Amino acid sequence: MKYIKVFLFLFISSHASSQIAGYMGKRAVLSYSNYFMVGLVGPGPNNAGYMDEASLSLNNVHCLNFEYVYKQRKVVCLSGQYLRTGVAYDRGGHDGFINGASYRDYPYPGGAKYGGNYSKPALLTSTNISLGVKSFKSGCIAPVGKYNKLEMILLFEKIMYDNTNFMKSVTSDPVDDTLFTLGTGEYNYVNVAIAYTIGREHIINDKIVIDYGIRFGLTPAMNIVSLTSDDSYSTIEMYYKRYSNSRIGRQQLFNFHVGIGFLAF
Amino acid sequence: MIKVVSKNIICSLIALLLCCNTVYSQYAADYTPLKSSGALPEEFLKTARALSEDDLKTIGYGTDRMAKQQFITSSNYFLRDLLLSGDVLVNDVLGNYVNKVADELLKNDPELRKQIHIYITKSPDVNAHAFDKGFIFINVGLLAQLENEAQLAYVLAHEITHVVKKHSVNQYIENIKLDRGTSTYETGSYEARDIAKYRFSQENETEADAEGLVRIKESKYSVKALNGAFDVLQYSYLPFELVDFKKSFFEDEFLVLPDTVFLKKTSEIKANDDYDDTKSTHPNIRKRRGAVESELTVSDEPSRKKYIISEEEFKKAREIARFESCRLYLINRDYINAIYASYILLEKYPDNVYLKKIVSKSLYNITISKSNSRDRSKYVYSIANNARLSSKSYSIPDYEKIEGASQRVYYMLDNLDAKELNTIALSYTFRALKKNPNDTFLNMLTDSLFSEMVNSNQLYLNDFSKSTKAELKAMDTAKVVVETIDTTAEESKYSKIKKQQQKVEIATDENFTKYAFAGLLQDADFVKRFTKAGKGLTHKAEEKKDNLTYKERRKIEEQIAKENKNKYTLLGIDKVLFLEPFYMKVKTAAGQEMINYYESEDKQIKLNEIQKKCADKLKLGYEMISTKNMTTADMDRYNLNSILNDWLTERFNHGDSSDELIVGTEEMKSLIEKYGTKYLAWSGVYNEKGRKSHNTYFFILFNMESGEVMKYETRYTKSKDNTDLITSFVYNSLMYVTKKPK
Repeated sequence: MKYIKVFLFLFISSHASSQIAGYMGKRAVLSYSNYFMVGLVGPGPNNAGYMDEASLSLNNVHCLNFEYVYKQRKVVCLSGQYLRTGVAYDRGGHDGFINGASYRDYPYPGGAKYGGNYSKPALLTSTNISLGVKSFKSGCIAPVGKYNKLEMILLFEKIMYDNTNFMKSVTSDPVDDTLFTLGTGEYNYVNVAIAYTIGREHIINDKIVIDYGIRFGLTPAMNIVSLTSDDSYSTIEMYYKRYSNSRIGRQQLFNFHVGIGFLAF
Repeated sequence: MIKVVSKNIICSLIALLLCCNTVYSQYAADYTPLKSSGALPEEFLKTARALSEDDLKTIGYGTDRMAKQQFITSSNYFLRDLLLSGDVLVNDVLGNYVNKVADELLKNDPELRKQIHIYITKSPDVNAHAFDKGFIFINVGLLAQLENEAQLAYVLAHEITHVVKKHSVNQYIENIKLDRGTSTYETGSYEARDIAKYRFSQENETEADAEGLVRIKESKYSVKALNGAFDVLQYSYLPFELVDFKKSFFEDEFLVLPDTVFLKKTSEIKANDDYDDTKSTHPNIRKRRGAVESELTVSDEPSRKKYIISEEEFKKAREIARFESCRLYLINRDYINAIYASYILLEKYPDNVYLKKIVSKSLYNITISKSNSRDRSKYVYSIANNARLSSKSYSIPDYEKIEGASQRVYYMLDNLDAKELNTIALSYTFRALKKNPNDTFLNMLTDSLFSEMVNSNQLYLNDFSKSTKAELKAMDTAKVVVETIDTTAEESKYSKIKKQQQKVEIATDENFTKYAFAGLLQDADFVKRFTKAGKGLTHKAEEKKDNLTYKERRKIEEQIAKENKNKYTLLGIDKVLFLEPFYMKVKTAAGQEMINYYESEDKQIKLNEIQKKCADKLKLGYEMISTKNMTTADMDRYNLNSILNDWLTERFNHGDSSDELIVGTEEMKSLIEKYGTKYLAWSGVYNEKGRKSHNTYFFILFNMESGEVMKYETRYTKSKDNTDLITSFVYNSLMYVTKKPK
């Protein structure tokens, strides 16, 4: 965070000029945005359905933004984001095939399966920090009009699951399965992403800033096909790392946003 | 009996002479341009929407309702635009007279008279036009050319017919039908239908000519006097009088122009009255004349009069129109016509300072244009930050295309170079100044001409001879050369060259400028001003290299651009005078553009508010000359708007050149004092909505004192013209105006 502050300070001081109008002299915007996308695969925070059982849900990223106009058409954006969603426990033993791959009875590393309450999914949160630059279209004066935004996102992901209700088979009879603790119940991962946004900003009554648009994102750690592959994972940590990266990656991949804020100074 | 008649004739002649003398003596010394006065008519105070509201109630529910609706909204929008453009005079001496003629013409039809509103428009074009709503506009240029009052009455009768017969709306509806192919007037090909539009218009004009004549016959005006009415139109491209032009006009005892610049024979006047009018809104003159010629006889002609109101008033009005035309030519950058028209009037009023100033201003501007085209065009760079006004360099029209006596002026001024013109302009202006030493404008103009002479044309005191040509000729120049040859054993080569040059100079006419100031150089004031302009220098500075390489030129251009960028980035201005902004919203559908008149008007008001809000926020002193919400007592505001519009129109005519002098500069000086700022801002938005919206925003800031463009900004965006977008544009423009450079 310290480095970001230093970078931001250096960036603004080297680029900002006093000859920038902003909007009616105000160049800083504080706003809240919500990036949302229908959860097509996988549950929402309170929805435990999995794959074909999953019902539609809405995943939201809540963002608090600070934006500062440093050139006539350029805005530097610092944003704190928070995403909370659910990760359904793998039921394993599912009959049939999906994409040609069979589901194992014991899908978790070490031949384990979840034996707890499936209706309460594991919790995946992602606290992000993003730094980006908005470029307003030719002719416009920031922060009004159409823009393109390119941002770098640092994602701090956290998975919390019920580690005490895992079972592993002792005999071939599932009745003999014994309960055991799988992993620590909480893992943290760090991930990066880049995102590109096309949007538009309006100002109402010379104070209120309205922002809307579409965002496309990419994260190098994302593997879209990971959940449908037959790969096995050596540890539960690896399992959730891959899972959470994919979930977050998909969430960043394409979503809409609406925001509201005000001209600060 | 004969005695009584003779006595009456003599008395009348004396009265006429006295009257004429009154007119002449009135303008002997000076002339004050026309201004509106009194109370503003109600129609000037209404918005286009308000003007249309009553009209829309009268159109009924027929098949043409939509077209009529469109016509009413558009014609009222343009009518309002014209009324508040500053080009229309209210309660002026010309308008009052023309209205008296209209009263006489319509004295048997008081109801119609109430519907007719006649105004004078400040245009040198020989034209008049009418709106169906009853507004008739007579151009100053037409009044300057008319021969008598009866002709004026006929012009009015013609325009009144257009109003009565609702020709404009009929034409509009028919044009729409012809475009759509639903007209029964012409059912042929697209081209045939296009030509039919002109034919339809010509038929309206023919009807207006015929019905106008009927109205004249119903009045007491002479019908015979109308004979020349079509001549006025036919020869309207010529100046209002044909007077032989003498080069002595610019000369004095010492400044003698060479015969080579004086056209010996001028082209004859061969106005063709039978030109091709297929694509003309009016029939050609021959057809128009032919259509009414047979009707120009009435049995009671002897009892009819050329003048009913007054011959004196007509002549006075015409004279004023002629004075006014000189100024209008100048505003329209028609410098040669301005000089020639002034020349005609100066024959009558040789001491009139207004006319002399017109000539001086015209000469000055031609000089500047010639100097610019020779030297500066290579170096002229954008005058503002990010855009430049369209470059409109002035050049004298081809004299071969000019007919009549004024051709000599075209030829003469075209054949003089910038240095020669500068010399003539200075000589003429300084002489005018000597006769009017307190005239501040002539003082300023003289100094500017000195400055131009030194800085642009690089002519210094030592380039002019204090001795006259005759005095030098009196010396035996041959002897000088012989002596030089005999005795120059110790004389330098350069001294010899100079003496040789002196001999050659005397022998040719080309260096007539050298002796132009032989008289004026005896004048201490002249020498003082000249020296001051040259900053004490009496000799040329190092010659400017005309033949620069591309790289050198680029370097100069880049340097100028850099200087300009620094100069115009932040202006640090405290107060600005704003002119009513421009706003036009256009909707494009099926390849056709339609102006959204009401919304344009509303948005204009909104833009006004935005400007005020942004100026307040920036603590920029804000004065708006708006024609919105005026009352009948707001004549001062109306006149002010008119002055500013005139100034702006002329300034735009000059394009990138801020060196050319603007006619209204004198008026602007008092305006600058009144408002405490010399900066005038004008902005606007053009919004086009088709499949997508496009906006073009502009902002221009002028220095009213010098005519310099301080800032010219244009912004093009593909978006709706939302208030926040426009506000951000306006604020940005004004921020650069307000902020002080570090």
